Amino acid sequence: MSIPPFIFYLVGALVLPFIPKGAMRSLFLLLVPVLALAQFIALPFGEYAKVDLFGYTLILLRLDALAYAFSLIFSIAAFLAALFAWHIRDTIQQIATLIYSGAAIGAVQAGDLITLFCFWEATAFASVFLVWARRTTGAYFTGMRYLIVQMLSGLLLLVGVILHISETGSNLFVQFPDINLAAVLILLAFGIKCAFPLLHDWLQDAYPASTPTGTVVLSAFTTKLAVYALARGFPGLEVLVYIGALMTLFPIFYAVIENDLRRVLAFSLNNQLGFMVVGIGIGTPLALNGTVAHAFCHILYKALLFMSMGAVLLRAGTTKGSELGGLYKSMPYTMIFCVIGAASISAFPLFSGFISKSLILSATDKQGYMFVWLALLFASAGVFHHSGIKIPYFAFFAHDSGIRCREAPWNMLLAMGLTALLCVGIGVFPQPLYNILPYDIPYFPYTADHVVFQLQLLLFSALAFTVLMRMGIYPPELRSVNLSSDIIYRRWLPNLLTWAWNSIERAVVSITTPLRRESSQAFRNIGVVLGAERGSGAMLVWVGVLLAILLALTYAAR
Amino acid sequence: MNERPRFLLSRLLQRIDSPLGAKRIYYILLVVCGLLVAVGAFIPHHDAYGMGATVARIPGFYGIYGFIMCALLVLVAKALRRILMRPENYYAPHAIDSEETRKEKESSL
Repeated sequence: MSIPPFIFYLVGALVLPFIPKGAMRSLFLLLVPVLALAQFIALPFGEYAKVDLFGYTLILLRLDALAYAFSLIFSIAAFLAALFAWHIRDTIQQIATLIYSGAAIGAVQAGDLITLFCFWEATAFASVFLVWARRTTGAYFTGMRYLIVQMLSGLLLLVGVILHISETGSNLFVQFPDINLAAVLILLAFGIKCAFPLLHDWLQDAYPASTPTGTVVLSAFTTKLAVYALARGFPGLEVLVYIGALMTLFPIFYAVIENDLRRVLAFSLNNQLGFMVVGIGIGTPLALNGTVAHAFCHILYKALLFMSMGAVLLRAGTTKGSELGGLYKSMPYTMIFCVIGAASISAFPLFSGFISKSLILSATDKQGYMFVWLALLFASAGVFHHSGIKIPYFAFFAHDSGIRCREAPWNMLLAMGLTALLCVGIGVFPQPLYNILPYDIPYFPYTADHVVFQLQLLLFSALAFTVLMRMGIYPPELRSVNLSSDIIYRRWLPNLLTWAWNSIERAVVSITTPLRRESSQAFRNIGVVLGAERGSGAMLVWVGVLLAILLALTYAAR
Repeated sequence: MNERPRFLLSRLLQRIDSPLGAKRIYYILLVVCGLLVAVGAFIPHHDAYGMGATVARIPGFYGIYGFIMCALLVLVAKALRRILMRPENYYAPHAIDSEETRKEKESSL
């Protein structure tokens, strides 16, 4: 029997509404990832569940080392997120989470491009409900922006896939041999979901807008699905080295001045994706192993960090650095778990980030990318600076905000505890993770020079933080938003369209007003319609005008 | 400051939560950094190739690089605030930034 694991999630989502809310349903939500994992964990590598459709063979389950590693970590993330959300009684969030995680697993196990496209779209549609689940006006609009960007990625993928299939006649999802138009479109589609520079704004926009539990789910899947797709389709594409390096750098500047700590985490998520993209661009076995290992560790520590901030949001009511501080008095366990996540993302020795990032750094150095290597080193120091120090410091220490709240609920603590255990476990015993990587090459992260140099880099960064703090130079947390390239579609384009619309309206009114005054009875009737500003009558005339323009243009085009 | 937090861990941390404690941490950090540079000068480096091998010859390179770049990072980011920073309600009502965050109902927990 080789039922594709995503079927479990799909059936789970269909059955879920009929299970009474409460412990029963929460238990069911925990069970689905376990059953789906059991379905593929012992399956020999190969292709299963092939379906013939319109002359194409769809491969619904392809297991190889790359797909296996991502499926495994996605399943673990789905389980931990379900445990973290045990107390949630919101059916929409529960169904969205199931379909979203299932679609992500389906996508990494898809053997062909058509199946990939279907799951690609499914992750977008399902995940937007996690943003909307906040149920505020702001979250509604943020979700809309998120959905439009994700749809754009899907559209590019669709066109790219159609072109690719018509050119090559094959719908298999393997490495794209040459970079033609189809490949570029597909690369762009992957790039949007992977938050490439200038295509990234949806991430920092949408993730902090979700619910305390929703952001944990969001952080695990979409972007790592894109990393998987890039690793599968474009390993060794050199431009990715530079895109990745840029990705590690610019978010850290934003992270320093950002006030919403969950958005700071979204920036560092973007920065960590950069490391993975660099690994894909280098494309050597060591580098690709590094990318997969880093994605694996990253999902865990990023989930842990978002969990700790989710717990703070739930209990303290906000994650704004300017409003928080001194929470160690109320939430000491959450603080400890946050610090473990922070140490892991900062790649402290004995924590998970260290054993995965080292592979990418070594590969970069080995291939002679001097400046990229230095950039990654800078980015490593930078991520420690804002995720390692800033997040725990401003939330749990700094000046006492006076907030006294309860510690996180037991299920959140348990989920954070398990995730923290995994972060430390992988950091101390990296070999089991190394064993499931695509390439079989030995690597030893714990050499004396590695450890000492990494500690130097990190502790001197901490020193810089304390020195700047003591000198009073460090920028305080301020209630603010920071402009980014998304101002183009959030401000400039809407303003431009409004201005254009108003100008046309004014022009038409100024032309028709004299007509109305002097024309015969027939014209006067139209004038009355136009005079009813913005009414349904005016709308009707406008439609007519637009149709006339369209007609004229059509003739002109001939 | 006669508040007594509920958790043992919080009470322990409260002991060092003072200007004096912060000062101590700062000096401990300074000493550890110095030690790391000293140790780094004497250890063999084998997993280094191009740039990695070059900089490994400079004693304390990683430390100096980390310190300078982090200080630069903060200064540049601080300067960027002049250009990029807007009030919290800049995108309101189309964004969550200035919305009141309400606590979830905790009765079910």
